[in-house]
Amino acid sequence: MPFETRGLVKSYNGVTVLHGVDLRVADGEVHALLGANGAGKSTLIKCVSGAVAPDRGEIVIDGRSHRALTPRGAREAGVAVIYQDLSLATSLDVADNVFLGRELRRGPFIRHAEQRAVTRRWLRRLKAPFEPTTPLSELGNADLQVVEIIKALNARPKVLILDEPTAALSEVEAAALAVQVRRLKETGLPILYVTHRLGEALDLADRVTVLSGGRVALSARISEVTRADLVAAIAGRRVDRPARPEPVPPGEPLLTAEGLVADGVGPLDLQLRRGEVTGVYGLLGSGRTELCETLAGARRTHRGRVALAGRPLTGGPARRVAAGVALVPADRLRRGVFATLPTRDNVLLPSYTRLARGPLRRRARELAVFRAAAGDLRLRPDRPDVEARTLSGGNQQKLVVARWLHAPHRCRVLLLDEPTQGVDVGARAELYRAVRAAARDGRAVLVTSSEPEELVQVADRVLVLAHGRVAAELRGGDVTESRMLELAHLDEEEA
Amino acid sequence: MRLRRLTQADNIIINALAVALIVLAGWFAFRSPAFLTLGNLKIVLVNSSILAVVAAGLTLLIIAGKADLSIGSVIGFSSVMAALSANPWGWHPLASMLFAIACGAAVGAVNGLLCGVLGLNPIIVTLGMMTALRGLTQLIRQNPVNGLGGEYRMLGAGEIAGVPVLAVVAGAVFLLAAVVLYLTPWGRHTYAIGVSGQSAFLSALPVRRLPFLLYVAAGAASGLAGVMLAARLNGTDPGSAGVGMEFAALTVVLLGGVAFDGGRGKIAGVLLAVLFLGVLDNGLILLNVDQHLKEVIQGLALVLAAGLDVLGTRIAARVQAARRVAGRTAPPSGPLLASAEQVRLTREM
Repeated sequence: MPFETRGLVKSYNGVTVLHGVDLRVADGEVHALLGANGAGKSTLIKCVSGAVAPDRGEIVIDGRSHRALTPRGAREAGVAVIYQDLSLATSLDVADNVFLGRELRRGPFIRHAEQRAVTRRWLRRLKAPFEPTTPLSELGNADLQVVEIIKALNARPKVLILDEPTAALSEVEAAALAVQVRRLKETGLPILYVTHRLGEALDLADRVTVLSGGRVALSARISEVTRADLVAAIAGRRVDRPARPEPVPPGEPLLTAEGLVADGVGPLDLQLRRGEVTGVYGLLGSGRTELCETLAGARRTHRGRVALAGRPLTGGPARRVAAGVALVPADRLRRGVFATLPTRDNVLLPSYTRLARGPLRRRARELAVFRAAAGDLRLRPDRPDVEARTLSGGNQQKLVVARWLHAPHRCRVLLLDEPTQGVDVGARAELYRAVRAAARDGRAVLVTSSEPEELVQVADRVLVLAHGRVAAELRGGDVTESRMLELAHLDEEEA
Repeated sequence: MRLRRLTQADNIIINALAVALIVLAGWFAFRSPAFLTLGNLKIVLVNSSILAVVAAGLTLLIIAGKADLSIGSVIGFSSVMAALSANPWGWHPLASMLFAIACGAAVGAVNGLLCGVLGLNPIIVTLGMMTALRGLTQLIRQNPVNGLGGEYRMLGAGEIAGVPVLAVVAGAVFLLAAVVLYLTPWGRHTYAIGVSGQSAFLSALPVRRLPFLLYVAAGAASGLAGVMLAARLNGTDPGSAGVGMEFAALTVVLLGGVAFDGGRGKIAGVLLAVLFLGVLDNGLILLNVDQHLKEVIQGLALVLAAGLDVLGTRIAARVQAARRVAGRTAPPSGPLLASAEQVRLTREM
């Protein structure tokens, strides 16, 4: 039976987040749900999964209409949601996880053999390349998603919702998962597939719905739309194909690494020049994050030399920041922002000591620096006393970027690791602008990304990373999406 | 604006405590004519002062996401070192006081090295320290020491402008803690390290040095508390001095609205909690009520505070959202989603 929402309306404290959303997912159909951050995707999923109750409208599951659902009611009605942060017990094996909380028992004892047999049937059906007894610690990210999917399917759902399943996956892993999702069609279930990646939607889905500002901006068969249509619907306005930045004459080398080896990195040589944005493209596991962390001193250097303007660069983040090298980490929630601290703290924490007179803080100076940073990066809301966790992902990232770009102590080399992950289209543009401006100011900037189009837009040259090494360097007109994808995957096949 | 202040998560416990303190004091004053006398209020202050000193040190540690269970044993240890150096060894009282505080700071340095620098689990390390140090103290001296004299009597029983010296010392320590927390960069660093050690590390904050120094400070505060205890009793008992003080201190810190996970709390709340328990203790004695009732109330107050904390967080979220609607300071949906998402994430963690 198809899954439907009809006229779903939801507002939080007077702010309407969903303005009557109609959505219909047919049996055996993979239906992609796209939309910028804040477009209402999460709220829609929450209504369906019972996390929040819609104000109006109805949800139809397996032919039965529901006005509102509780989490338990949703599960009993047959809603299975797979979230991007997996809820698996990594110290257990596959079969244990599939039956976690729903164990097959004889009296107090678990029927392990039967659980494994059932799990094995599922694994065969999805042609998954591992066994029921495989410990989860041995599985890659895509395989973990498969385990989560089997766990959901095993509860006999009536509708399957995948909430950004590939957000944490590399291109190769995402491709592997795509194969599994296509096989899921055979189960005849309606499948709602929430994603940020357009390519995935175009490649995988039968139909697509784009939410924008809580309304359905576009809903069509996938064969009837182009990439540009989707981008336009998501952005709510026409976004042009990525334009290359103005070429700049590269300055002198600022940060140089020779024969650098660390866990997951190298050996590699690297040169970051003043005024230049160096893009680093690579699949997950290619060493992007490891490279950034090593250069920032958060990861141990085993061999090789790193120098800043000719002087050796050693020690942990504290010493490297003092020398002028700073990192905007990929794991924003855990390693970037201070979620429960106000925006002012988030921008100024590393600078408080320098802004102080002796041991005492000087609030007026602090506020002046904060205002300059908030204005420059167009922080919303631009107030100094708002807890960072209440900001959108894009504005949280602006806080971390501003922390270094507006520090009174000059940051000379800025390393940005996946700066636009989970950031909506508008804030992305502002971050790109800030990155270009940082380079124009004479800094050396390194940006990593798993989205080639992003690097086309922002980087002067691109290093393609594979297995911790530089597989190729692209310059000027060579910096294209297809070249990057080609080079990254080429190496994968050779290896 | 006022509503916002009153309902902010941090403030709700403090306000509830202030109201409770006033109601409690009013009730005691009504029931017992002896309560609202100058002499009795001095007794409340004196009785609260030692707990106040250790609670101030512990507050900073807990905000930084650390903990210290060795407080009671450090009090015992330093009080014995104070008493021994002053009486049998015959040091000058001031020298012996400084020596005892230094002993406390030294223990704090060991804790700080293990928990702050090497990153061992604070609960386990300081639990071990609590037991080991009590044993060490009793190895050094088994029997009580008495008769310290001189400056000790001045500290224990004297007054400055009518205020007991012990209370002045406690007030000064609280003031110092407040200055560090609110007026210096290290105060913000303390919160930041408590909120996210990882973010603090990558932000080049002193993630090792600062916790180390906070442990030294907490140890010195416990050492000072030991000196104050020895001064007040004009001696000390190695077996019982300071026993249970770590839990008393933890109780007032948490009751004062400091989050046990770190990153949140105010020093004023802790001061109110100290006074609340001091008044409660004193009033029940005056009314000649069974002392065990105090324990019941103290325990229930702590649980209530935990409840208020959760409630306060929810109310604050609603008030903020309502304000956002009214002020239109944010895009219509993004922040709301972000905060709801955050709640889900934090619950899962």
